Amino acid sequence: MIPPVPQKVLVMDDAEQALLARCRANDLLAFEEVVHRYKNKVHNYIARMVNDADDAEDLTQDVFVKAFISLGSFRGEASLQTWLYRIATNLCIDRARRRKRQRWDTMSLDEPVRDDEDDEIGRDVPDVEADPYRHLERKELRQQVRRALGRLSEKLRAVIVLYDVQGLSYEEIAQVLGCPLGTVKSRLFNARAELAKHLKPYLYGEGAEPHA
Amino acid sequence: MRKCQSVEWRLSAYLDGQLQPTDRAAVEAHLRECPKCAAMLRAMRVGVEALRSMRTTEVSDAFWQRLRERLPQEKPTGWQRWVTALRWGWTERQQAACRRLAAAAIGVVILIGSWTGVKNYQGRVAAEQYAEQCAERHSLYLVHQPFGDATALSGGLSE
Ligand SMILES: [Zn+2]
Repeated sequence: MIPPVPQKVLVMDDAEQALLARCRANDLLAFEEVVHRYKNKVHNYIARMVNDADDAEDLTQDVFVKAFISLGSFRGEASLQTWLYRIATNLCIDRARRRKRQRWDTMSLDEPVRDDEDDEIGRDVPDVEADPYRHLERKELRQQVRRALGRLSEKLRAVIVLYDVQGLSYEEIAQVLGCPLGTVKSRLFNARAELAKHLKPYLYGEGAEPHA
Repeated sequence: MRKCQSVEWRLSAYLDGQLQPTDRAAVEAHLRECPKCAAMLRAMRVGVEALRSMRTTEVSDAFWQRLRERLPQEKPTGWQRWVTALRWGWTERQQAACRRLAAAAIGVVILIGSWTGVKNYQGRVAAEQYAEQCAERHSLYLVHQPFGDATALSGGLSE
């Protein structure tokens, strides 16, 4: 069984409230602190959503510019992290819409996924160093997973990335997406089921599903 | 088949260990006898493990500098921008402002210097002229009133 993902806090603590208050008082140093705290989390999320390093950096910039501009209208009903993830999700969905308008066909679904992680080594695979073939397998597997992620709809991808990559709880994801808890759970199941379906041919060979 | 559907629905929660004991037992019993669902679970687990083992990405080193240039300028107060500049380097605008400020400061120094110089010169000239006048008048009084007169002397000087 996969160990449960660590659950994250939902509400603002006092330190975050104070930081937000300073941001609202036009304290640029406070805003810089917010950026410093969340830039890599936001970037990591977006990188898995768009699968393009340059776009991820630009979109992460956009998230913080948007956050800076809308600080006044953010009432602190969610944590800063939740709020930033919400902005990031909306920007990713906007980007996907723009792209779909730009190219009518579904080209983006079938084009090869750019692999910017050639040297990536799995964090929790102890036998990787000992067996180079397994390393290769792992690398190929991650490519397959990224490809499969790219085939999911933005809505499904957001849920599975927020849960399995970013480690958010169902509750926080519900806040990020502004949808009921049940929707988060069913989208997570659908996303994982689609992911599994895409991986099956790779794992078992084309059309070679095991039979009893 | 119907059984498969209801089990598939629970696989995600099963993977996270979030099923009630009775549900979990039912799913496990089905998985033992249904290779299709077992394969689905395995693929799902492999995928989720791959997602969780993905390398975390990071923004570039210049991220904050770039971002700062893009933020609307009115928002932070003036001194906060300068404090940030001291920590992170100047923006184009601040560099230009610095150059203007330095030029203005040099101008002011030159102006003050030359002004005091002129004043000093003017003062020196006036004092010399005054001293000459005094000497002249004094010699005149001495000529016309050789025995001296306090009132005449003071009145004569302030004439
Ligand atoms: Zn089954």
